[in-house]
Amino acid sequence: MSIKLSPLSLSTGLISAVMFLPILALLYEAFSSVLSVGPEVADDAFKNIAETVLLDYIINSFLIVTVTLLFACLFSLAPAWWCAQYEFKGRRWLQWLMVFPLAIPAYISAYIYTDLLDYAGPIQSWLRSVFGWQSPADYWFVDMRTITGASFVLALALYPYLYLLLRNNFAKQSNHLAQASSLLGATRYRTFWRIRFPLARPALAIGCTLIAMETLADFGTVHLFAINTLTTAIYDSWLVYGSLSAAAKISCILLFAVVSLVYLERLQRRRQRHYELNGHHRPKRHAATARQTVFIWLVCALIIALGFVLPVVTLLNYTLQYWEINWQQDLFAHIQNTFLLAATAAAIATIFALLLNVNQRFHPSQHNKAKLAVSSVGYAIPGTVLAIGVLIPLGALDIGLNRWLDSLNWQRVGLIFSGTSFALVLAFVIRFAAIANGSVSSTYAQLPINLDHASRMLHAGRLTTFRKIHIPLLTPAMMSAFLLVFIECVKELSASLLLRPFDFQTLATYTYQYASDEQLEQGALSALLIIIVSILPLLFLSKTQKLD
Amino acid sequence: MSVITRALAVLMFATSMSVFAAEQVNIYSYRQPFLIEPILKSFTEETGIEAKVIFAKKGLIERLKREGELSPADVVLTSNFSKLLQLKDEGLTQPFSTKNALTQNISKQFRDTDNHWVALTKRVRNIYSSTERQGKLASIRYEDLADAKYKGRICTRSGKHPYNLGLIASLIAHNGSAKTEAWLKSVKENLARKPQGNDRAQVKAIKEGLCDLSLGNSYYYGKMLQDKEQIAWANAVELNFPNQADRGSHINVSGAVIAKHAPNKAAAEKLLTYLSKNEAQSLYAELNMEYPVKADVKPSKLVRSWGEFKADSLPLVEIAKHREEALKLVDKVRFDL
Repeated sequence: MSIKLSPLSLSTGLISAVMFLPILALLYEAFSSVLSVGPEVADDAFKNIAETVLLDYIINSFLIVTVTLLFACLFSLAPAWWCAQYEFKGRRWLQWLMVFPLAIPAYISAYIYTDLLDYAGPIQSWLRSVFGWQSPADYWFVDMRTITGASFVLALALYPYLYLLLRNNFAKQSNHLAQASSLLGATRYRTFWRIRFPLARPALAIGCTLIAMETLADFGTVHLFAINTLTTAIYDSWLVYGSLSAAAKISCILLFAVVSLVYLERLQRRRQRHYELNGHHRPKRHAATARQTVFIWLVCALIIALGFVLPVVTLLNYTLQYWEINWQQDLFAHIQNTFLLAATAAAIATIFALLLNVNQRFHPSQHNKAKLAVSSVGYAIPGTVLAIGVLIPLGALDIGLNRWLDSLNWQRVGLIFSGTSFALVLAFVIRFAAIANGSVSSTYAQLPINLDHASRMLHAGRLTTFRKIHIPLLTPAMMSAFLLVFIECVKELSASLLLRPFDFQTLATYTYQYASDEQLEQGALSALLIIIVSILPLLFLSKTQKLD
Repeated sequence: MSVITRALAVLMFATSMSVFAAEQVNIYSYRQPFLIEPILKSFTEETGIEAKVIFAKKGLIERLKREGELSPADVVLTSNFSKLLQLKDEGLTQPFSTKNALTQNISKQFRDTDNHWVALTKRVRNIYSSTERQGKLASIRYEDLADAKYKGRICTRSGKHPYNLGLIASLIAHNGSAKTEAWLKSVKENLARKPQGNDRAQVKAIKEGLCDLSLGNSYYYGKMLQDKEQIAWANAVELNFPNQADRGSHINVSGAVIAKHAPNKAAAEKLLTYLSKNEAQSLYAELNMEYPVKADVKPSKLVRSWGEFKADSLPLVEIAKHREEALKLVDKVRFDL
């Protein structure tokens, strides 16, 4: 393995180092106590949690990831296939409507669903009044505050990732393999499972990994559902036991789980490699029959209704009911903050993703692959913990810098890294890099390496190849990377809450003031604004990204 | 690209400069902004000092620690007692001057011995009971929640919430660890459902008939009475002050500290002094329907209408010693699972 010191390799090295720094800080936090005082002085908080409830929490985390992935596949697999393979009335609308639930933060739909379906909620109260039931013993009703309930809500918020990746993949799969399969006498069913589905595996893998990471890192939703998971253990040990080092240790378990997940999947897929050229064998969509069209619309409409319409209508209703409290002049400033912050972070994340992927493309090596991998793990770390991870090195940097300025008798500059939006942008980029990386690399993987070879044969340098060949082909992927990260940043709450400067609110932190006290009604308007700000780019994406 | 760099420049400039403006006090707050904004506004009107706030429920102490000597924070406002102690224990506070009016306004029981923290309001851990099925339970004790006659009739939020941990710690302080563990186990047996939601959600559950009793701070009662939808929940319950015949009800406090590296220490002292005065005490308590700590300030009319009560006089510092043990018990009996 030789490491060349080209500008590209240097910059990607730097990027991955910066991205990994907070995680390194947490690792240090986790094990420095062990190193300095010796392993016999075990961390009390960690020991206590490990001896009592940790195993249950791990099992819960495992279950919730599994069930969420199952739900997410259920919501996305068939619609992605239909939108990619069939031509039917309203398809162009439907394929974008299916992405809309992405605009709804899971903590908001979680609040709405638990409120709606709880024993004290309107549906069960209504049922009791109609049928004259008196107590929970009189009837059976689905219990929302279970792993299944939490997974359902998480999957509703997260399935669009899987759907987008699968739809793109299905739409780009060329037909000749499938045609060969049918010529050899395979049924369409068999062709799907033996040809189409394996071809979709990279997309499926990336989508599932993203969903699994986000689910593992979630705290807000599982907390509302009263499910104790690994994140509960992290917060308990840090905030209740007061041990950041125990929290960092449990974060390491989480990271380990994610890394092994990703590694196992890659190992399985290692020997598969196939490139396909779009254009020549561009699949033609089958025209759907009227019955099929109705069926497709019914199924998709149900998913959209649950994932998008119901929360939005509820929020609208809250907003109108509590209009006076909801309407605040400050909201405009919050919109501006949110927008600027999200756009900046999304742009940086996209550029980083591009650089890291280009580097891996031109210089494929374990080393460069590792750079990509370490730049993606931030997604699996709960926002507040990541925020601390960002604060540790930035705080030290600030203090060092100011002391150095002091020694020169210069004016202090204060907390220019940890006390400004810099920290916030950095945290966002680290947290959501996985989305941008995944989006760009899944498209890169589909660009045949022959293209690069052809370009080289024509004496084009790497830069020219990149500029003239890769960039045009990658533009849609980069745009979706930008927009997906943008949406996530708009919704992001925990890191924003902790890292923001004085007098600085985003829509999410503003909403949280109320939601944190289970009074979402009073912050419903800003919650709606989160959704609107997220939807606008989706509409833009739907206009520009032509899949036909 | 230039738009982005400009935006970033604007953001960084605006945010870092604001910290260095003239007369101001910077607050890290565990309390929600709408609870403190009205009072900060009147503070600014009186003193001309501008108050800036960052609110978060998690991690502010860690942020303060990492910012070290450069931290812009002058004052930290907390919503429970354990955070006050933690701030002092981690060396993140500095004493306010003892000649300050603050020390005259607030009695020793509600101040740190070295004047590192001060309590600002008292909150009571009450037991709510269903008017219809249980009626007023004037003589109820926390200990009674373990009684088998309440099997399947009790609702509560997570055992690890600071309010419940405080209560469990006080039970350990009074009854010992073994008895409290048995108590906690029996209470868990009596729960109508897994601990979830906040204090208000338990009252809602009582209204809907899911349970008869719940643990909750008294100010939620007042808040529910003021909400057009939640008033129905409040009207379905009675507010009981536990242990009136013996040691009195468990109380927790909200409070404040001055940060060790406060850049505006004088302003911070002014703010704390202001918060201890009659006017602010009554307003601060009234905003959240809590009890003032200053002895001669009366709670709001609504709060007074809930009646006099006897508060547990065991010093909070004594109770706080058992907090970690309380936490271990909660995990040991798997209270939240």
